Amino acid sequence: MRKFLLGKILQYAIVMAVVVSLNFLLPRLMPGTPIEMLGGEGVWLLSQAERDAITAKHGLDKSLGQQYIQYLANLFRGELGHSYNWGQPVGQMIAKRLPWTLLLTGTALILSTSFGILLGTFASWRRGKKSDILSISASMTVSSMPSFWLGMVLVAIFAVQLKLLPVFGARSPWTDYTGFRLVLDVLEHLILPVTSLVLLTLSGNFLLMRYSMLDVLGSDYVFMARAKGMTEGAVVYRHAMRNALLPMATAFMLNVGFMFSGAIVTETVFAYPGVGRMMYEAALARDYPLLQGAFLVISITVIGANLLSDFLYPLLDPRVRRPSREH
Amino acid sequence: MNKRILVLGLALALLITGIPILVHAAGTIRIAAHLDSLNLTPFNYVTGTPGYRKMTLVYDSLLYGDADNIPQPWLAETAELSEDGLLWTFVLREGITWHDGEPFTAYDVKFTFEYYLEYTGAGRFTGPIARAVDRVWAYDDRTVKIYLKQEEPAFRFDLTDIPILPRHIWKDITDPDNALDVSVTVGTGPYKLVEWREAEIYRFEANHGYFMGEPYFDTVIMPVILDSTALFTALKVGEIDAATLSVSAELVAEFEAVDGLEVIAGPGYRSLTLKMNNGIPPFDDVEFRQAVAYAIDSQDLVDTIQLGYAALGNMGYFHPATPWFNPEAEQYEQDFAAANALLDGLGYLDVDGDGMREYPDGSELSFPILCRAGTAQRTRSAEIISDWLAEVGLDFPAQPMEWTAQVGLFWPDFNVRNGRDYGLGIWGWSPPAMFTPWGPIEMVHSDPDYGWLNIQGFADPDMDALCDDILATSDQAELEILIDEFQVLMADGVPFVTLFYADVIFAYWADAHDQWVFRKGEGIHDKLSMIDMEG
Amino acid sequence: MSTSRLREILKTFRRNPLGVVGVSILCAFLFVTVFADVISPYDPYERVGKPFEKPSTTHLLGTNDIGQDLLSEMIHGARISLGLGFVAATIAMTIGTVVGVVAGYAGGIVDTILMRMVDIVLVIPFLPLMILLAALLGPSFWNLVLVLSVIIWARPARVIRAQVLSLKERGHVVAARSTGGTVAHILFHHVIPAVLPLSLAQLILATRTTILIEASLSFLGLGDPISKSWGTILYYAQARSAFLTGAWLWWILPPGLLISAAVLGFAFTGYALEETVNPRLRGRR
Repeated sequence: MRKFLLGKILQYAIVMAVVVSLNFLLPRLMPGTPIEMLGGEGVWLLSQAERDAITAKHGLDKSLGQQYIQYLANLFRGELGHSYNWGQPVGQMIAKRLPWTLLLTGTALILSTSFGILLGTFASWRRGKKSDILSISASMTVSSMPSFWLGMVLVAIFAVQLKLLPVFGARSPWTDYTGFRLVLDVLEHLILPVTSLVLLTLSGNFLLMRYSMLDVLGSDYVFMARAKGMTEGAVVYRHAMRNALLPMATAFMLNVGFMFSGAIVTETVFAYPGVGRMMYEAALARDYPLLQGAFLVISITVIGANLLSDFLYPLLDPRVRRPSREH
Repeated sequence: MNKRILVLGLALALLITGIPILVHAAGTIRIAAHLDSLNLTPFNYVTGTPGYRKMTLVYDSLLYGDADNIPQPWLAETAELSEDGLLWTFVLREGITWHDGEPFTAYDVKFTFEYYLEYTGAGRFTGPIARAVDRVWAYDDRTVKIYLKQEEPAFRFDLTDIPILPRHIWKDITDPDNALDVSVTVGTGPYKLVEWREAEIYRFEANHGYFMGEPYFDTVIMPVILDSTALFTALKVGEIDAATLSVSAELVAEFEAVDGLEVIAGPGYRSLTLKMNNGIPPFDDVEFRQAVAYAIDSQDLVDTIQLGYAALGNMGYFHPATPWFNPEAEQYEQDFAAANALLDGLGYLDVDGDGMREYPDGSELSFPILCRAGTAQRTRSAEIISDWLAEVGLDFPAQPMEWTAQVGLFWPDFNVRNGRDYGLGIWGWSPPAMFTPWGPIEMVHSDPDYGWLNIQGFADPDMDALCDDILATSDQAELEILIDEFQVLMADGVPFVTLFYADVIFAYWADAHDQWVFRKGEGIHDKLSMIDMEG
Repeated sequence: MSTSRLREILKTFRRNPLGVVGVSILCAFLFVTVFADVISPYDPYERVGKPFEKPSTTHLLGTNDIGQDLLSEMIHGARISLGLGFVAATIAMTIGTVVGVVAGYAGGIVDTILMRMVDIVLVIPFLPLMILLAALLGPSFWNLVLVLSVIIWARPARVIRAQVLSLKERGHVVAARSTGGTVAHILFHHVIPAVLPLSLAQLILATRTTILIEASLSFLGLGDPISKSWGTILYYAQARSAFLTGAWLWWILPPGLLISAAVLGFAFTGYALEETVNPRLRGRR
């Protein structure tokens, strides 16, 4: 067991090293210098001295090896450099955006998991019946939609056409709401993006729950419970569901990663001021320090969630020593 | 159980109905900005639109361009240039104070220029000053003299551009690039910046008693909405009163149909051009370039890409709305027969029968039309032009690429001395190239010292001679004649094809504000729109 | 693979309602892809109308921002979107199958190294890396294919390895090994034929993923704006404000539905096929 955990930690350490190195290497393999990205078409306003200053400021006059060491040193101090576009420390910018992403993905995660459990239990109970097949196809249909498109359609219907919900953002920016009003305002802005994230992840949770319910329902002790004459409801909810929940716990952690990546698209469509949207903006503006910083933060979250799920799984389910992590 | 559902339902209903409580407070205007511009100091505001004009709500310059971009006295009550063109004398207006109540004096002006000189490389105002300014004197509280290193006709325009800094704030700041607190943002302008939440909101308050006219609004709120769809949706439903982002042409009809929402369109000075590498075959031949020009229907581009909201490209470069425009220059209306005749005459024939022409020696002739990915206007223009060129037998397919990669090919290190490595492509120049009569010279002079924007490598001795004459002329009438001639020569030599200049279009709710001033080439979001200069 | 096994697979598959629906959807798309030139009313690359025309009898779904027929664009879009998805998935699948077979059959240190690589790729966040790569590499069909396939091969590799591991212990493979069959012979006659159906199922599932990601990347402006994929159509719709005008009904809704339908077709078929051919899943439904 300890060997297994140590192996896992080593594996994740390698993954982190790969991500960190990719992050350093990729932009430097590409044509162009930060000057071109910095100035856009207005760059001709810069003099040669100003350009040299920029090159030096970004350390691009040094050798690749020196740059890598500098990069690692900065990383360990938590310095992610300065955004080309904004001139501000990347770390600070991410810190400002992170709470919104956490709010969005956290809410969506809880809702998606809860609905997944409820629906999965229900479907497994009705196994093979029309409502079971229907709910499988329905959930797969919804998760087949491109996430950005689903978001756009939701906005088009509920915000633009029906004018029921706000169009964009995380809160109304020109208001000075406090207290309850502020909470309400934030909630209003949360509804559509959360809905779209939940719809997209629901099918995975639902299918997993249904699957593991079927697994448990087919096992001996449930057979015994039935034989003892317990009602079907009691069998399903008291015995089967509890055991079937175990894989959901790992799925929850894996979903953290999935949601964090998925938030890029969702936040973009809803103009939600989170880290994902920031990464997209940085990609469009080719703001490499910001892009890399966002990539790093998202990667660390995802990898961390995976690591946690690997640790959790054997703890939760003593039957399993080596989890297979297919998601 | 039922009760719980009822409560839930009520909560939901409250959520849904309690939404648009966006009170339009009297004396307040809500203008969405499509980009954040940091804390708006001259060192940190983000260059371009809307940062620059947001910055000028807070800061003033000695002169300021009027709606026609003609420099007018602003902080300076009078501005005089000596006979020899080397000494500027300014007398400042009386009684101006900084937003924090400190008096504004000539010493602030002197300090400003010296500060920019000291921190060369910080911000974008230091360049012209370092190039032109020799010394600055403050004679007394109201008089400043600036002595130039050499005659600089363009310096008059620089003066409308350079924001004046408060000495008492900046004298202690040694790292202007990182002075990012709002408390630093103190100017003499019509509005004070009171709040900035990054990528979220700017809040300005009126500087009552502003010396050029009373501010129209007590409060200006600028939410930052980066997503254009979100921004225009908010504008359409009235969550905001105006927006700094130019409205795309396809939205004009949509917005005009909304009661109370007004749309105003005017000339924009940003150009879209088709660049050809004049240094390599086949583009080194002026007749080949002319053939390309004959294959293009700029009017169709204007109608298709901009739905008519653009001015037709002038082959002499100057926008028709500029005072220097010469309508006599050759404009190459689309004429496939003329293009084919030119190409046939040059010996570019289809020898292998694939429908596309080859080089005179029979080798394959094909270049991609490079264009910047991520801007629909450019990729679409490239696609359409590619179709036209195929009509005359030229195999030039559209190819979008990364902006940095395109710059790397067209303008390595932004220095035309480094040469270029492309065949043809879509390229745009930003509005400043159109603000002065000297701008386009920088695009065609073969000496990199003058033609530092000559990224197509155009070289014509006649053109160089004419440019030298223009640069040496200070006589207004003579200058106009030479500029006319310049456009004729430009159109005949076809260093590149100017396709169109997209109009700038803005929409606003008239009940919130209807005193907008349209700055030629740029639009309505300007300090001129925000103060009552008549009253 | 013997014909009897094939027949058995077909029989099981036909009984799966999802699989039947999935295959029908895919057949419909295959038809559209093959006969795109015949079905579509116009050449999608030709400007046949005014820009931004509303749906009419001449243009059933209106025209796009430069006057090309939207319906024709969407019909031809099937070629690009499905083609790109399929090419990328095939490359990924080939890598995945090779890695899976080698790792599973060779075992030992080779297996460990390959599987650690798989673990690494599986954990690296997908979309962010795609955005990073797409932003760096620039827009083109083959860059997209490259980026997609580099990331997708890992999951199939793992599934196939598991299959190979169980195959290795089966009668005829053990027999072949004990009678001194060469490694190549065993692999090509016993192992690879046996994992091919599973590869196919994985290929179909991978295609679903690639189609979705291509659409997302194109929509985000990181695809190739010249090739007319469904994602590109949506990109221009978004770039030219279709969302704010009534145009979203005919410019945004249909391509999205097409993507969803295609993805659903691949998902249904893939899952059904996986359940049919993967002994580890069979009978547990």
